[in-house]
Amino acid sequence: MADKRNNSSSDIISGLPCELLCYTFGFLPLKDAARTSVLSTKFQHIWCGIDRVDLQAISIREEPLSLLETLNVRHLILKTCSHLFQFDGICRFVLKSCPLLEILTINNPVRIFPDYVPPFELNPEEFWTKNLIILSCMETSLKVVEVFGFQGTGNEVLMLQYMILFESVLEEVNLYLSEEDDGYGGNRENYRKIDEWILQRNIERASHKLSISIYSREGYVYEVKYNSAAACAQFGFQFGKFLDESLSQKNMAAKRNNSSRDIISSLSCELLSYIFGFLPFKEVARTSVLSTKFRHIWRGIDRIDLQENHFIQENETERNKMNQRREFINFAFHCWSKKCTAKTIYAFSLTFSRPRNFYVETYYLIRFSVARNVKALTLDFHDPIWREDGLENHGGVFDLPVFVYSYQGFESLKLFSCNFLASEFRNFTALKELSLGWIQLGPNSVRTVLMYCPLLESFNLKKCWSIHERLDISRPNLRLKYLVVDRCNFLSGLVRIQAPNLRFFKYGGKAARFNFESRLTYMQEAELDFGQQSEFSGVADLLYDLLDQLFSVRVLTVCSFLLQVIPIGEEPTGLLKTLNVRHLTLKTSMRSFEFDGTIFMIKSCPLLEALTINNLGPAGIFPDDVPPFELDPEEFWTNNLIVHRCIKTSLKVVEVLGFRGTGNEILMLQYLISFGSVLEEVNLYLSEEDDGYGGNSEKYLQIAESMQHDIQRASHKLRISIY
Amino acid sequence: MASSSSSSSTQVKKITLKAADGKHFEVEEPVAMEMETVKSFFVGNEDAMKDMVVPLLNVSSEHMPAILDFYRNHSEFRKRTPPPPAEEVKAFNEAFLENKSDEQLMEMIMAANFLNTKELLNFLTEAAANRIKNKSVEYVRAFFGIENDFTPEEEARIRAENEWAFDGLDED
Repeated sequence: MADKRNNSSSDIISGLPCELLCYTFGFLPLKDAARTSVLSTKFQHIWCGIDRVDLQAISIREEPLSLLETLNVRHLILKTCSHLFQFDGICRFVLKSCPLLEILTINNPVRIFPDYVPPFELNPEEFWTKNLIILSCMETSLKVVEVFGFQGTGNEVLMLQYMILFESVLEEVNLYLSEEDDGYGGNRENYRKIDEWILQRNIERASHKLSISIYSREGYVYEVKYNSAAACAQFGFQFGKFLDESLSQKNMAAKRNNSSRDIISSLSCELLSYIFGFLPFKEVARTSVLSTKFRHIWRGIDRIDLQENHFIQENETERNKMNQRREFINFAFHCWSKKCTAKTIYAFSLTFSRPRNFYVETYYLIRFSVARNVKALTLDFHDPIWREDGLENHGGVFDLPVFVYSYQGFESLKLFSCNFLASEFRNFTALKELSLGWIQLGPNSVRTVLMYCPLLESFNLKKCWSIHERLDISRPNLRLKYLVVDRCNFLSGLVRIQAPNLRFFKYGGKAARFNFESRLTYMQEAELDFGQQSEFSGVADLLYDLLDQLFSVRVLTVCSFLLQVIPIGEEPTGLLKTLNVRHLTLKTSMRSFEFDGTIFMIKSCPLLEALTINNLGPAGIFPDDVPPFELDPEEFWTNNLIVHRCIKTSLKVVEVLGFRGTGNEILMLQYLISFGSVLEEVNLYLSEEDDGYGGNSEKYLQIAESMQHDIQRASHKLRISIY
Repeated sequence: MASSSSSSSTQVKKITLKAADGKHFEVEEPVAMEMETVKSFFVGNEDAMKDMVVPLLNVSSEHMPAILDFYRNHSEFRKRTPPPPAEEVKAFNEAFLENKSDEQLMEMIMAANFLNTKELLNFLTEAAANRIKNKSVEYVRAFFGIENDFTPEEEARIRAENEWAFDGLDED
């Protein structure tokens, strides 16, 4: 001690023993005490020894959630009795303030003053499982948790469970059993039952390296056999199966002998769960009642699709829906993820509209999938009541947990209404498919994502919106093959795409100015739907421009809006280039003001081989649409009509989906059939809907049949079929 | 893979495979190498090539021609540039499954599993899944030939456990 004083003679109190210092600091508010940790290396840990009173008090102070500054503490010792009114202090305050924490020691035997009145009451179970925050030290640094004087109380166990569940780098949990009886019949023997508890509850560990050891005073070390949660579940599964089998063996022995011709009993469980993996999840669940052998096979499938709408009835009150939602998440959390026997998961999908109300469960399920090396993750948190054609923008309701960003195994990722940080995508280099939806895109986030994911082949944006920018999908050498932009809302209405390998392009939403900066040599298929556009003026030129750029596609689908608008542009007679389209699909309502557009499209596709008319019926028209001009349909299809090249030379198949036998449909078919000299097939798929004027599928059939007989044909090979 | 030899020289190396019932099949080397089980037979053992007969214990000769046909066509699809249109592949796959009974499908799945070919196995298992999609429990039992060995009470209990999964079925 003398030496020390010589070295730092000005430091008066450094000579005091730690206990004394600690005692002194105990009179300080915790905040001040905490600041002493930076005084010198010696002081770094001392404040941690301060007594419980402040720990209790801290949670009811004015700023209970955090200190203004974070502490540099690596080893934190809490003297606590694990009483519930300390939880808030422990969890929210102390752990949060120490982002670099490596070792946490909980020293249990401190007794509370009997006359201490807890400042508030709290349900411990609720506290440790609901609405918890996962703190940064738990994800990045905390390696060791020690509990001295472990008594296995409910509160201790809950806290431990929380830590095992969420601390992803945890390596050791050491429990030193208390020597004392707790006065309620508890003693060392009981305390040690913790290991059984861990096995029973089958807590999922967040960390792979975790080992849990139990020490008593004799130095007896017992390591909880907890090698892997999966193995544990496996054990439970096999044991359960064994029980099931031995039970039913009594009853069923005779029956079982007969089932020798069971084909599939020769298929192994893996092969069966592989087959089941292709089924919708709901059906997989049904396989559990096939026979005893199948009771648990479905728990081994590696494609998991959890959807809340299997549990939630549409027309229930919001309150009942909430209960059903609870049921769903309970199923997902307790009945599924805890009993899953698959060691790796290929695809995991969670569709759930209230993730915030079940934060821990949701967080845990994501963790569960990542821990099993999921390759395709889908998180769909959007609320089904949001309308796809609605104009309002919706944002994310859940933040993608931080640990996800450090996982490198994703090949496919779909995030709907889930907030993410594009700048953290740098580990997702293996990503091939990405879907983003119901989210606000930050400035440059599309660019950033494309930059970090060089292998991306499929990119899907749905109901995304941004107040910042145009949509800019451009990276040199982008591998992108499939691009879908569906009902997105970008302020400038400009879409810039530079993707030389693009094969499939689908656009839905408002008309925008498209700018493809590279030649689309491989382009195969395009689908355009401007159903959201309500204004006509000035749009026609944009559409010409777009069609010109898409000249190389072989399969093209266009919407009614395009058919209405395209003939009123400045160059109504044709495109600059002809299109390479072989299969053209028109989504139309077969109204006279779409005919000009139809003819325009037929003219622009001289190589057309198949024409599909998808008749949406009256539903496809907006009631407030004012037709730009009137036209007599009969006259249009019979007088002064030019027969375009494709009709005479290449058009082989005409299909009408939703055939209703209206005058317009018949006139147009008449035209195609009477001039289509190489036509081979006309397929009419009758509409299921009534038209509101007494028409129904029977009447449609009549019309179709009469047409089959009466119509004059230009081609000998023609076959007209009705479905 | 030795794809070059097949185009340049007329002498394509052949490998003889022996099905479970003893029948022999002469197969071009690249096609045989599609099967991981066969491939692993030869890897690092180049001498073995000559007049080696590879026994395939779990594959009956009934399915060999179909399986080999699948390998030939699909390896050709993969080599072609530009890749063949999806319809062509689909048409081949549909034709492949036509006239195959459920039992034959199961046997082929086992064969594919033994031959350890991911592509064929994926394709067949997906086809099997499609056949039982949205069917009742009774139908699926019949499909796999499963004897129901639950007591009625047990079955009712398990059905209740996953009640959500049992509505909205197709007719069998």
